[in-house]
Amino acid sequence: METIKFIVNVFYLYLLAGVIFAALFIWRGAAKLDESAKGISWKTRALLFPAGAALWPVLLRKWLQISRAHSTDE
Amino acid sequence: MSVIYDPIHWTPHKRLYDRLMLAFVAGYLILFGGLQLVFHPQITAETLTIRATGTLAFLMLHVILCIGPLCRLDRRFLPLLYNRRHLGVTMFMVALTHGVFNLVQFHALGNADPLVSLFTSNTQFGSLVRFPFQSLGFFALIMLFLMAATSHDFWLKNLTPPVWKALHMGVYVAYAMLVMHVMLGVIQLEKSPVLIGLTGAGVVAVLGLHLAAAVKQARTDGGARRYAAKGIPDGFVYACDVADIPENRAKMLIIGGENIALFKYDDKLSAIHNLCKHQNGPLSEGKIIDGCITCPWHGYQYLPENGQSPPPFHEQVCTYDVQVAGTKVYVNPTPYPEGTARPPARITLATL
Repeated sequence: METIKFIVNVFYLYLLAGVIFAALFIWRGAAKLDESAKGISWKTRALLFPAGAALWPVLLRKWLQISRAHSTDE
Repeated sequence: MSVIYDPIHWTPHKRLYDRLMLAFVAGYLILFGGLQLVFHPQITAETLTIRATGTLAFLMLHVILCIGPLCRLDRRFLPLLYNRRHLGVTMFMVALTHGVFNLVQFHALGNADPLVSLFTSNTQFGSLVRFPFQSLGFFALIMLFLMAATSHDFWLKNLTPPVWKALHMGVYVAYAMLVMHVMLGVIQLEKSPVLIGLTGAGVVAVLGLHLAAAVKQARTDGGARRYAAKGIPDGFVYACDVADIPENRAKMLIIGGENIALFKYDDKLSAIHNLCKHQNGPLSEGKIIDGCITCPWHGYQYLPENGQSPPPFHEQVCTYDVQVAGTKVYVNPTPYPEGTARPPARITLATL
């Protein structure tokens, strides 16, 4: 029971972090990751939100890699 | 094709497809609801919703899984394939409704957190018959969510096609979990032989169609290998006769493990890799429109001479050398790097 409670709480935390990340991702991150996503409509951004929240560790890693690569170039 | 991301690339066919799909969803819900009210007049609105959405989502998943093999068996089913992702997203929304209503009805009314209740109300994980089937449904729903959420082209490109494809092949894992979810649910709650029979028939249909499509594919591959045995020197192998390929169409070849689409157009022959860069659609099942090989799935286009999408698009596929001797066509299965221009083989009166 306690183990399941703990796992469910970790799941909720993961979702919460995902929702916060996804808001930032559709605002800035998507265009950093993919130049074709620059200037996309808010309808399209809304469609990217759920997967942004679910896959946030993968996307955060990609975003950081791109940011580091850009800062090295500069 | 990939320069601008739209929410949905609408076409008249997609609109028609979506209307038909939504009409089917509405029709099913009305018919199912009506029958339930006739045979179970005491049924509550919540239970009716749970049953209607659960059966509908499961039926839609069967349709989705049958579309792929049906198209490989008969090209006339291809239009069903073009908009399969809308069907998938709609199926997820129906399944989500089923899941949420279940969670609220059975797990949200007590003191425990609904998800904690879901996983602790039945802990007979060691029992086959009493196994907690609702947890299987929960995990299957998570997988269906991941597929629906990543169905946009942005994710295909940025997760990379192999990762995206692997993620979406998870539909078979989700299907297996849902079959168990339904079977155990029926055994534990409904005890209806009709429902067990229908579920079994669905599984047989899905497995049977996949098996039939695999047998057909193996025969096609075997045919290509027999042609390859008659290969001529310099790496070229016999592919087919010129007359075997209709004008502006292709013949699919598997030679030396390479999946090749051999196109005939304007008295020329060109070969490119058979799998579209978008979603691995079979380019050999497409045709040449406005001088471009056009993928039958979503209309991505490539120039036959160099495997490049016309500007401003930038998808590229591998190309291959083709030769014609008499009426016989030979292909060298060694691929050139993606987008490499190769001169087409000319079909002249002399060759014929």
